Amino acid sequence: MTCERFLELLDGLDNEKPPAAMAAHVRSCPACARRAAALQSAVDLYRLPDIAGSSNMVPRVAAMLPFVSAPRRSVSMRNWLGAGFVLLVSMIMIPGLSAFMVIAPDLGADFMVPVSLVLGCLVTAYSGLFVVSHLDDFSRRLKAYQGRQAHKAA
Amino acid sequence: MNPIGPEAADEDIIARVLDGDTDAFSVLVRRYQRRVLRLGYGFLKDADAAEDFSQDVFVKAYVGLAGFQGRSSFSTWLTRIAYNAGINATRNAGRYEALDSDPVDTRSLSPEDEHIRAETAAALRRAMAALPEKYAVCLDLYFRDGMRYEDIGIATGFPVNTIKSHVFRAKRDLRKALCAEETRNDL
Repeated sequence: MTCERFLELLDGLDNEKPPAAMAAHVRSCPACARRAAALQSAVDLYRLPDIAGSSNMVPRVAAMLPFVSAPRRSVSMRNWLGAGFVLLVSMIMIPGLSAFMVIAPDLGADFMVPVSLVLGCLVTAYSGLFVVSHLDDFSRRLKAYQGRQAHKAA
Repeated sequence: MNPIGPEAADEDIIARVLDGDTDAFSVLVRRYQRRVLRLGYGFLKDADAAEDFSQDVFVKAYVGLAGFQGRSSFSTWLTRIAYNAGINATRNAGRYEALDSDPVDTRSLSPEDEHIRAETAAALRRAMAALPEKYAVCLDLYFRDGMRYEDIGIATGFPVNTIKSHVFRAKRDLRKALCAEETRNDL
């Protein structure tokens, strides 16, 4: 590697360790080693705390946190809708499954009642969870809608 | 819950915060306050306003923490929040201006190191002055915070190649300035 190529690569380095070829050149070329070290040390010195780094924001931020809503783990709307779609497809497909077709005549028409109950419970649980976990979101959207209507009316 | 150590990974701290350990968030604030304050300072050019700005950014990050999906690092995500807040705050009042390097914590530096730091700051100021104003933030994020091109691109929305070419030129100018300084010292 030539010194010119080394310096070009040095200028293009992305805040990362130099690749092996550059490291090898540094070992064999004291001039480039000196230039690379000078650049690195200049950048390191430049990164020392400055006037903006002297403030401590921790108490200020901590004082605000009790007054805002705490973050919660949430499932994205896309995942919710995906789960709902899978549930719906399963409900449609279960009565058509070959295993179900085989046992259905043996069990008679009464078997459909518990199956329907189980599927109904699943749909109710899904819908309930969906509504409960999105109450904040629904209320926010409702408020935004009311705000827009009030703005239009004004 | 055991208190979280200052060495803990960002992801572990986030998991703790989402589990209800509000105090763990202070570790993230301590870790990234310098960057957020400086961005605020760069946009608003006022120390008090920069502190208010930083408080808002951290509170916004806390409230939206559940929405952090880990596609980028937390620091990049936070920088994006701060950058967008800075753009919104200054939409009608100017653009980002890199902080002048007036060190307050250089008592331990030798006169020579202080001189190199001042030279570096001057070379980077010259490089920033040659750029369209809006790209100055990229040089600050690269040189001050050690962020990588791709992360700067995610945080600011600027194309990575544009960032790369600006940083490349700034680094070349800085290297030449350091080289000229060395030559002067040798004479």
